[in-house]
Parts: sequence; C-alpha cells; structure tokens
Amino acid sequence: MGLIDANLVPAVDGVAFGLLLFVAAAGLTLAFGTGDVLNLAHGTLYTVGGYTAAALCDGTWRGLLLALVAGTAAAAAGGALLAALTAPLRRRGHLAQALLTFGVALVGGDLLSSAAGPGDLPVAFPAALNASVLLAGHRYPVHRLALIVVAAALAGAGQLVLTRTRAGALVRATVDDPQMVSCLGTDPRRVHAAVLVAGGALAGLAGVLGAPVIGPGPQSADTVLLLSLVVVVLGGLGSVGGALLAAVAVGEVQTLGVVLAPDLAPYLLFAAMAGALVLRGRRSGTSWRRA
Amino acid sequence: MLEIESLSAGHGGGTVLHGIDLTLTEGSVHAVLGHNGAGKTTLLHTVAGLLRPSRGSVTLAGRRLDGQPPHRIARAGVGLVPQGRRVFARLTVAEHLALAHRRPRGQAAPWTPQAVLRLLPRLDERRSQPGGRLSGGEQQMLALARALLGQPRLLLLDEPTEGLAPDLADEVLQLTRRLADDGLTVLLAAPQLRLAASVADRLTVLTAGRITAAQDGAAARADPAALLAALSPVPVTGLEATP
Repeated sequence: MGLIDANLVPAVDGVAFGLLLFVAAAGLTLAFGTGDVLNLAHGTLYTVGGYTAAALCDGTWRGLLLALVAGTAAAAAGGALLAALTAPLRRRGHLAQALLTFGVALVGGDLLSSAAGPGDLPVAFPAALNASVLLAGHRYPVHRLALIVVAAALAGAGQLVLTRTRAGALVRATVDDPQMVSCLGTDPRRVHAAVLVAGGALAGLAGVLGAPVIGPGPQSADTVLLLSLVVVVLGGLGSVGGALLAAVAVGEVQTLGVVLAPDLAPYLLFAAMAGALVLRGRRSGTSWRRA
Repeated sequence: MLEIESLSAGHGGGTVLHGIDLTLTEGSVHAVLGHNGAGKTTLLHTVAGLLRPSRGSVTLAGRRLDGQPPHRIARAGVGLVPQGRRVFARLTVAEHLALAHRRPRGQAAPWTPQAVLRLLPRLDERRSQPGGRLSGGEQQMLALARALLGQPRLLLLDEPTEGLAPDLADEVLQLTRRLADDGLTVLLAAPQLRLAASVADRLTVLTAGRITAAQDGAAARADPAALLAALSPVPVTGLEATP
C-alpha cells in the first residue's frame, strides 16, 4: 500500500502524459498508415499549437478557448500545407517526401523560434486550472486531471469516428490496401491528405492542451516528434489501438520510471522500442499494418 | 463495349503484354486463359488503371480509359475482383458494402447492399465479421459484392475460382453467367480451360503476353483441341543437343 501511495502522483502523471502523447501521435501513425510516408514535421504541428497558446492565453477562459480553436485550425492548415507540398513528390518515392517533411520541420522550427525568441514561452492558463486538488491524500494540479479527461474523451471520440463512421472505415481500408480503395472509386491520396489535416488538427490541439507539460520552445518539436515516433513504433505503424497502449506506457516510463529506476529511465524507452522491433521482425510483416 | 487496341504494358522496366487486341461485346463473358506469368493479371490491372500501358488504348463505351488513375476508371464503370480477393482484413462485411456503395448522379445504380446480399445470401449471415475471418469462398463473394456496388458496366474477374472447392467454383461461375445475362460485360482471367469454357462466350489464350489462340465459347465446348494445344507447355527444344 505504501508503495502505491508513494507512487500515485507519478503514476497519474504518466497517464496524463501518455494520453497527451496519444492525441499528438495518433495523426502521425494514421498518416503513415494511409500514405506510407513518415511525417517528420509532425512535432512542428504540435508546437504550432503551443505557440498559439502562448500568444492567445491570457489567464482567462476566453483566451484558452480562443487558443484551442486557433491552435487547432493553424496546425490543421499546417497539415494541409504538408499534403500540398508532398503531393508533387509522390512519383519520387517515400524517401523524397519524408525528407521534404524534415525540411519543413527545420524551416518551420526556425521561423517559430525566431518569431517567439530562443527561450521557452510561458503559457497563462486560467487560475482555476493552475490550482490543485486533493487526490487520495496528495495535492494534484487540476490542469493535469483536466488533461486526462479531455484527452481520454478525444481518444474515445477518435476511436468512434474510426470504427463507426464511413469516413473511418475509408481510413482503415486505405491503411490496409490503398490500391483496392482506388479501385472502389476513391482516390487514396485524398484520404491521405484528409488524414494529414485531421492529424495536424489533433497535434495542434494537443499542443494547446499540453502547453503546461511540453510547452512551446525550441526543443519541443523534437521532443514530441521523438516520443511520437517511439509511440508509433511500439504501437505498430498505422495502429491506433496500439498507439494508445504505447503512449500510456511511454508516459509511465517517463514519469513512474524516473521515480522507480532513475538510472535506467533514459534507456528504458529505447530498450522497449528495440525490443518491439526485434519481436515484430520475427512475426509476419502484416503486423505492421493494422488499424 | 470494351475495345483494347495494341495494348502493351509491364512492371518496372519489363514489358509483359505485347500488343494485345481484344473486343468485348456488351453482356458477354470473355475468358482470358494462360499459364502463370502469361500476362492475365497484367492485362486486368492495366484495364483497371493499376498499371499504365506503355502503348495502345483501352476504350469503354466510347470513352478512353488508358492513362487515367484507377479511381477515375472505377467511376467510369469498371469493377475489379482481384486475384487473392484482397478484402480489407479488418473491415466488417457491412463496412465493405457501405464503403463500396456508389450512387452516381444521373446514372443507373441498380446495386444496393440489400440487392447484393439477396444475390449472395452467405454474406448476410457474416455481416458483422471482419473480412480477414471469412472463408475463401466468402471472401470471394465479398470481393464480388464490393465490385458490384461500384455499379460497374465492366467486371474484371481475376481467377475468381482459385482455391475454392469445386462446387463453390461452379457457383461463382454460374453467378458470373447470370450477371452477364443481365447485361454486365465480364473479362475473366482463368488458368483452366474447362471451367472457363463452361461460361464464356469467347475465349482467348495468352502466351508470354501475346494472343496465341481465340475461339467462341460454343466452338470451344464442342472441340477444345485448338485451345488446349495453345495452352500446352511450350515444347523445350535444344536441350537434347547439350552434351
């Protein structure tokens, strides 16, 4: 009981962090699944949300609401821009497209930090979110509890869209076999573009919601991209259910892992990733592609 | 209905089809026979737009299809039932039907999910099953249902009896015949003469990407010798002389 009690706060932190990562990484895994192209500018879309939050959040609910709408819209526009930029490179293969997204990430990151300055920016959330409540005898920030609720709701809503709507079925079908989707009369490239826009919107939304956890700064795009890649690899490329499990696992390693095994924590994530790669390599190649 | 003129196509740098000419009349079943690698699938994929022809043309009811992307060709009225079925493993039968159902404006759209389920009652019992859990026969039915819901005028069937029990294979072919009798034009790729001849109005043999024999269905059923000769393995010559 003492062990659980002592580690309750980092464990809950891990859930919050993991769910945030899931919202950020869901778009990355689906965009890879539908287009076979790894979007290396995905972390930059997250920071677009973060910088929007820094600019618009003024400690009021109205400011936060405005930031949520504007950050989501701006990152969705970023996703649309990536879709438009990579479209002409389609015939040149996946590497050319991935390299282009990497270039966009470098240029976008520089533009954002030259506009906002070299340091991390503070984000002023409403005071009620900065307060703390008692959670099983521990003081716990309201913001993180709210993050868990909102991110879980987003994950649930996303899962419903993916599994219960025609658009979701189209995305899953495209992950499975884009050629057959085209033979049904739908251009799979349009599905991919729509996923880039929707995934961008989710990443931007995560950037605003998660500003107090991974805030806007010159390093945040790299951090989010790296952790998202770990989530995508652990969860299985193109798999949303796998990404959710992997994201919470990564969140726990980053929080509970640091408390329980501080010496090992920096290696745990990548050891888990290497382990997943070795195990998957032994199974059939199809295990990479599931929705 | 479908005019294929001096069509050449291939994958990568290699040419698989060499100047194919085929004409299909409306409501007929045209079987393309040949061994593995003869170019049957390449022909069907080129008509469907999955491969770009290097030469020649494909015209459906007066409309040029060659060079168009597959989704445009599908909307022009071409349905593909691919080799190996290629159903979406994680989508349920009902999701397949909903996704494939097209209702083009200003065109006849006779196929609804209800109508294909009446035609293929086996699928009705499996509506909530994912494609990957179906038997081979059920997957074949699902691939056919999926193609029909695109409201095709031309159906491309790539080895639809492959891996099916004989009675199920017969069922698939009889179904094909009924669809053609209702006005659908069918291009059927088949490895075996016997099965294909039972339903086809016209049969063409492909050998190494070229047409080497062709006959009407009735004539082939009466005397299949000419087609069988074209289908028999190419005699190997020259080996005897090797010391």
